Amino acid sequence: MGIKIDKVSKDFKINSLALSVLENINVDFAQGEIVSIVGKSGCGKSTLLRIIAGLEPASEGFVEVDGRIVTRPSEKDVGIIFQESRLLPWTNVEKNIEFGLSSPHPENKKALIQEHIDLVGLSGFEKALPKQLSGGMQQRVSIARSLINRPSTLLLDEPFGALDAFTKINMQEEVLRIWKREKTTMILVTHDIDEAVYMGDKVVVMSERPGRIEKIVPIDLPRPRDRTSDNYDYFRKRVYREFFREGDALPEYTI
Amino acid sequence: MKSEDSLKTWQAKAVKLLAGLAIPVGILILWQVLSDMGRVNESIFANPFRIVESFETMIAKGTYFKHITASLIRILKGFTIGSLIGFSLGSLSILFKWIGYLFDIAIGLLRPIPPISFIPFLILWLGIGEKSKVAVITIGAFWPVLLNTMHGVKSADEKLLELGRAFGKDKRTILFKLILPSAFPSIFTGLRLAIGNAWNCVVTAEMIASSVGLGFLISYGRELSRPEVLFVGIISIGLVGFLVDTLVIRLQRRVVYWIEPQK
Repeated sequence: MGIKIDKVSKDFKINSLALSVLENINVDFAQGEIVSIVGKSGCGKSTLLRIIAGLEPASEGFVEVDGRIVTRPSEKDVGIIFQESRLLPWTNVEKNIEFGLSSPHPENKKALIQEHIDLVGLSGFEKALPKQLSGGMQQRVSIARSLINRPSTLLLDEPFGALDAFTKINMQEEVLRIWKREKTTMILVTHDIDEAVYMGDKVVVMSERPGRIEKIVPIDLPRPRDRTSDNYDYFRKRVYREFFREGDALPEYTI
Repeated sequence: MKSEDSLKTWQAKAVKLLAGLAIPVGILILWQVLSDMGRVNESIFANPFRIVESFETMIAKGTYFKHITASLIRILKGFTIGSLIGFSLGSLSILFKWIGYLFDIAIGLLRPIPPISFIPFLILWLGIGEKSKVAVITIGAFWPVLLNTMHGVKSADEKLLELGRAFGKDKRTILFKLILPSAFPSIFTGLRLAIGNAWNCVVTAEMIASSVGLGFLISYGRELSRPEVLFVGIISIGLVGFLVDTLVIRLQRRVVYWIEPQK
């Protein structure tokens, strides 16, 4: 089980010129693993995630999720969380989470929704409208909406990119707590190296134009991880060096 | 602290109301004063006291109620039919792209024609009775609702539509749970414009051919050279229009509650 990405390439046509966005992506992820995909903006990491989600077809190659080839979105097996919470602004927390349900009338609907509201720590906000919630709370609702179908895989597309630093750290803990309970396979696309190392069992480093896998760095650190430990710093530096070589420190940092 | 705040907002409201009333009341006083001084021709500019007097007699005789309900019922019929057709066609345009193509040029040609220019034709076709009047109001209400519904359903947030796809929703669910609610604010704008158009149409239609209604009251006042009757008609249209618009804005706040109302 898990996810198999087999020789996936993606071209976009812009003014009849083919632009290669992804080239020959070949990688397998195990069930229950957290994989961080990190790269500069424009490296095709979000496109890769959208192909895994079935929102976009690959130009070549295929993706298999739990042994089934992806041809279109399958909300029962794969949940997706976007950078923006994408809540329906006209309806409350409860109804927004209900929107995620793959079958409209499961027998224990009410209990199921309440359970997921509790899971993301929003008890008491059942009737609140999205505009009455903070950015972090809105993102919690969108996480609950994706988890309600108990997908075996959760795709996260820069989910904390728009949140402030403190909310971001809280949300990372929250997602790890959920992962510990549900053991979902998670693929996290991010441009934040620290986030990639802190969350991932492995970090996939992508290069840009065309997007290729540059390196896969396994993060052999026990959880819970200590962001201030030397071991952690070692892995952070390893990923960091993939993007910035020693000596090319930015002028602002040289004295 | 709280009661002090509510007192302040109450005061602020009272000040706003007084400021808003200053101009209409000022005009009335000036008008009356000029009449009393003999500076205006009273057989054209009936003075405010005479207008109020004529208003009172009409209410006492029951004719005022007859005129105003006649106009309102026509509006209600035409507005309901016109906006229902406009809304239905407008929302179909998103489901079936070819409906949009089919009507594209027709809309471009027909829309600039003022609905009231159809009145003679409608009288010829449907007769002088209620049907032709309701028909012209229907046309007037139809356009803004159609165009705003089409605009609303087209401008639904791409990101929400993709969310619908990611969650494997069918076309029906996407239409009713995502596209139409997104289009609601725009549809409501269309309804508001439609009411304005409906008023225009009803007054014109009644002035051209009718024996009852506020528009009739205006042309009747001219024919009898009784300007006070004419002014009762004009002022009533202003008052009812103002009331209806206030009501619609209130309704808008309730229906489109997730968006801050525009001024």
